[in-house]
Amino acid sequence: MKPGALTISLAVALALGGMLVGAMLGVTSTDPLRLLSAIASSDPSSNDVLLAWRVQRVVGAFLVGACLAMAGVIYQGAFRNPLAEPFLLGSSAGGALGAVFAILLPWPWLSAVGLPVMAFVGAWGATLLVLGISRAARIEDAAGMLLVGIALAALLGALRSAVTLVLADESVSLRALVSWTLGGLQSPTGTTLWTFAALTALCLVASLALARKLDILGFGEATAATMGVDVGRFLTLALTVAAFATGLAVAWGGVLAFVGLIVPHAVRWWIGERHAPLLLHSALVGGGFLAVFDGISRSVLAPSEIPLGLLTSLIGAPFFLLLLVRRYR
Amino acid sequence: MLTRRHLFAIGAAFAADLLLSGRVLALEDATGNTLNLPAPPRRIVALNPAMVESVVAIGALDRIVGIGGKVLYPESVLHLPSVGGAFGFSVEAVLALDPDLVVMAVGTDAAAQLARPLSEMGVPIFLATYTDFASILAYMRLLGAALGLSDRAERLVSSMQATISDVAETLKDRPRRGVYLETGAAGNAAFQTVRAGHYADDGIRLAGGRNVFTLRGPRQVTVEGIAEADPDVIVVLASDPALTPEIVAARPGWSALRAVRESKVVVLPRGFMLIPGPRQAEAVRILARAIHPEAFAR
Repeated sequence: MKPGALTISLAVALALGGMLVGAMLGVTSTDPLRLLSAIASSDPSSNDVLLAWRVQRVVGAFLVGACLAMAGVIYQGAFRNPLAEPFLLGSSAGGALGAVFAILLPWPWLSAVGLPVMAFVGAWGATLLVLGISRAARIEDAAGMLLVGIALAALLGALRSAVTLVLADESVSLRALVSWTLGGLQSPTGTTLWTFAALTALCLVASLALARKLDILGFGEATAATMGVDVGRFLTLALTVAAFATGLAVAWGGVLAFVGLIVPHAVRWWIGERHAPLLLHSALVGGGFLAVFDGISRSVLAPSEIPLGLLTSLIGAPFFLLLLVRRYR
Repeated sequence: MLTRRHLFAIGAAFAADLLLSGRVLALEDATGNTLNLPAPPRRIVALNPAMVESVVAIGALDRIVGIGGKVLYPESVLHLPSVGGAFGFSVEAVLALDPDLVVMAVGTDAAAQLARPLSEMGVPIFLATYTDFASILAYMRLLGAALGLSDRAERLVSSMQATISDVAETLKDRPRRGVYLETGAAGNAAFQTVRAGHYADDGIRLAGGRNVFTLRGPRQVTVEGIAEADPDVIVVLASDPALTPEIVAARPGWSALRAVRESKVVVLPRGFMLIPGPRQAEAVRILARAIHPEAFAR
């Protein structure tokens, strides 16, 4: 289907519908009217506080999904590789290293800074390091950067394991750490949530600005160069933006496998390859998708919460396979 | 309400197969591993914090020759050589200490790495198994028998039971309170708790509480789940000494919890409360104080 007003409306409907379903699901499911009155009400009675919490959480999940989907589109476009995903250049390894410090180290300044900041610094920092190393070594092609990323991810992964082994004793909960690496959605509230939303919007604007050159890059690096694209510089810029979006997602969602891979592909099969509409549709669909999955994770085994990353892979992978098989048949 | 029957139930769980034939002690530990000790062991390597604490509490501190690297208590053992722990355990480091008994807990990385190679080399090993509170007392009795210090182990268990009785006596006629026990948290969401059958779940019961969760799924809950379970008291076991009840209460959505509104949030050190050793009775007393503060007020 060609992207246009119809597909955009559908994507917006998916996003809003996803958030609505996500907000209706919970330990006790709620009807939409009740939700609206809870959002509108300023009465701090307990049920409304919880519903407000749930709405904020669902918005958080939407933003995480949108960031991951956008990052996935940029990574796949920049590397011209359908297997590229947001965690390619060390973001998950770096984010997890930050999370390990935040969860295992009982340092007061660390608890003040908090898990999201540590995870963001780790995730974004890792990719910036990859880009820095590539630049210093004059590696300007995607394949070379990819190898730098893989090496750094291995290094950070090993560091994380080492730090975990050294710091873990009876006084800390390794279960909490494992849970985070399986997708630990945080609860951003108030100004934090608004900041997160603003930064996500900024990511969308920045990535839309990259869209035309991502299209050109699709013809190959050599062709793009003849068309006036400074490929090395553009890659650095594009990956910085993508890594920032990934860092945001990791900070508020932990390591969520697969979302950044399946959503862009599903949307690509739906509306085609052009990056500007692809980014916009992916962000909306990815956000709606994750909002629903967060609702499922909170409600299916209630009062237990299933780590979100388990669900996105458990349900996302077969769904992706189904789409893939239908497409290739 | 805590009853006498409860305490007897704990006492009845100590079934141990002890065979004393001549001077050779043949003892089957809870895993069915048969231990043949020609004489009480003199050179003990104890690997897990709970195991070290137990050996010390039974009165065999002077026989410990090596400990696991993650042991932080008691201070009297910290100078002893470590046989590894952070990056795994070294069979060679254990053998170099020439132990005549290696004590470890089933299901730990120490047991996973050392139990088989050591027993294949003929080094006697004691594998403690525990799940609930009663099984902690049971392994201590077995350990006492293995060390040839049954009477001391008996005294230790009795004193732990006395502490439990004492708590029960203090809480006599008080209604049980619903307790949410948090054992871990990733940031401000994804809270971990304990399931039925865990010694900390027993600990809640012995401390005059009732675990509000009987989870079958993942041991992870949301604030909505906690609100639905509506605990009277929230006990957070934390590694972070800077964590205060106020910080816990300020978590997103937590103002909806009755226990938070009633200021019934207590933060306790995780490292003390979750070591399945001789300090568990004291842990129950601390927990009881957290759940029923007015019963312990003087």
